[in-house]
Amino acid sequence: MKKSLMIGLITASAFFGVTSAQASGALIPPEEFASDPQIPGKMLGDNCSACHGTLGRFYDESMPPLAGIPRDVFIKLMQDFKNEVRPSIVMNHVAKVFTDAEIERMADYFAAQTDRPWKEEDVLKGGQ
Amino acid sequence: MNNLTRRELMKRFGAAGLSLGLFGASKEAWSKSAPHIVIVGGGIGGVSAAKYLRILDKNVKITIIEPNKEYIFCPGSNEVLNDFTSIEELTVNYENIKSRYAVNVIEDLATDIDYSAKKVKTKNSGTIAYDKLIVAPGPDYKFSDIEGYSKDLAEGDFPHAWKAGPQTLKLREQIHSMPQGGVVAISSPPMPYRCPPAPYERASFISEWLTRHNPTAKILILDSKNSFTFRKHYLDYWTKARGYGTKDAMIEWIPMEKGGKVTQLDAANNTLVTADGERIKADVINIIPAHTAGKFAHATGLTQGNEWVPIDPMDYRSTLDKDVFVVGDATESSPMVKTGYLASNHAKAVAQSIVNELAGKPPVQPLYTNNCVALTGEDYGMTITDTFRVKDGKIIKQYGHQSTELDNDALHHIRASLAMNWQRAFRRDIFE
Repeated sequence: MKKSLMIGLITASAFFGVTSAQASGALIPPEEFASDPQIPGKMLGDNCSACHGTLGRFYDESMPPLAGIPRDVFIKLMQDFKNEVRPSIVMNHVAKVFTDAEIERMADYFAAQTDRPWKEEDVLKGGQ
Repeated sequence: MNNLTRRELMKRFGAAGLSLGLFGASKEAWSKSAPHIVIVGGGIGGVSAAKYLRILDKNVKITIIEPNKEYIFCPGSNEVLNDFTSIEELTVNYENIKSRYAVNVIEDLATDIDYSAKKVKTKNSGTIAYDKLIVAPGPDYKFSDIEGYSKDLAEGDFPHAWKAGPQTLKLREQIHSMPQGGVVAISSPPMPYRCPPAPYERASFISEWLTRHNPTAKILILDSKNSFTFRKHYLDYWTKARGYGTKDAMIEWIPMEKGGKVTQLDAANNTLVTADGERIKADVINIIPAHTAGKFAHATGLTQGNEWVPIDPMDYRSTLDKDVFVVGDATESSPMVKTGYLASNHAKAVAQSIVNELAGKPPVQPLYTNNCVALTGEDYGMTITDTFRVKDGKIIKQYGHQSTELDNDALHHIRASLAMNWQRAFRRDIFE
């Protein structure tokens, strides 16, 4: 009896996984989205700009810039945040939503950005 | 180029045209064949769209239609009430967007869309043709939900102050000139509305000022909800710092289930009336009205008879017209909340989608985050981290976390620093 009830619960929670996670605020593991169309590195990385600056290029605020960060350093940092190896006020909760491949695409994106303050950028000439 | 010629050019083409000519950006931007992206609304969503479009594409022509000369940021505006900041600090103009990003800003009110001719009608500047239109009107307020309340009263002695500006200053003045032991009544609206923790942040900042200048005053929050964002944090802070739950409490919160829902304003008697018929007289009355999509979204049929604008969450394209995109608070984006952070991220997805479409490339899969902050005081901050993905045309909340730690002053302090830092960085990400 107990066992079948348990199985019922597991099935129900698997079936309604998304709904229950939304209600409780629980994390839907990023791997569940692994077969979705790829989100490009820029789209992922542009979500970081409100804190780290446009294209990761604010050098004068307390949150570190991301532009020009070496690929492997970015990946290590994000994986450590994701796996809660490196405690942080906000970044653990930011990082745990991404798949490993997404972290790598963000790493490629930020590594390719010019590591100069955004305010110095000649936007119309380009460079980004 | 000598100064005379430069000045002459300025006269003819304005700063935007001049900077293009001088600094060698594409001639395409001003050729007749350049696609024209028109943006209605120069707030967080509209300006983010313009800036991120220009970063992606130097050749398109970009026009913002906005009736105001300046924009005043709402994030941070509760802190004007206790003089932690000023309206001036939150105010930006459009000069940088014009000159640095070659965006044409028309100071006018957009009034309608001719979908078949692809033109926007304006109050004073005639019609403006577009190839793609981005609509970012923000919310409007449903004054009629509170009997006796109106736009005129909001602009007079009963400011909602839910759009930073003159009403914020009016509310500040009312609080600062209130008699000793006076009462401030705040009516907090039903969901959804802009920035869910903000009514409670507002009460906190008012209480900070009152503690210093009017310590026997009271703040009554009359709520049309039974709970709110960061409730645990706010109740904890109010308990520790403002005597919450005792007879000397400076702040009292009355949820809907305890009779908190306000249904009527008796303006002549400075009195609020609740759903239970209780009459509450106060020295300062701050009604935050229920929200709906901005006027322009309703007037143009973009809402399609709904409160909010239906969009395809892949790229915030209107379901009514494939060449029209709508971003920010005006959209039906549930389970997202309505924040400037999300509005700016909607805008980035729109910019990417338009650029791809013009280049004949497929749209990209989006991701939307809402990594926001709020304050209970200068030294007590809170953080929220939400992530949304799009699957089968629906918005999925992959994760939503609110900070929960209570007895850790160091963490509160760090989060407050983060919050202040975020406000500055966020403003710069939109306008710098």
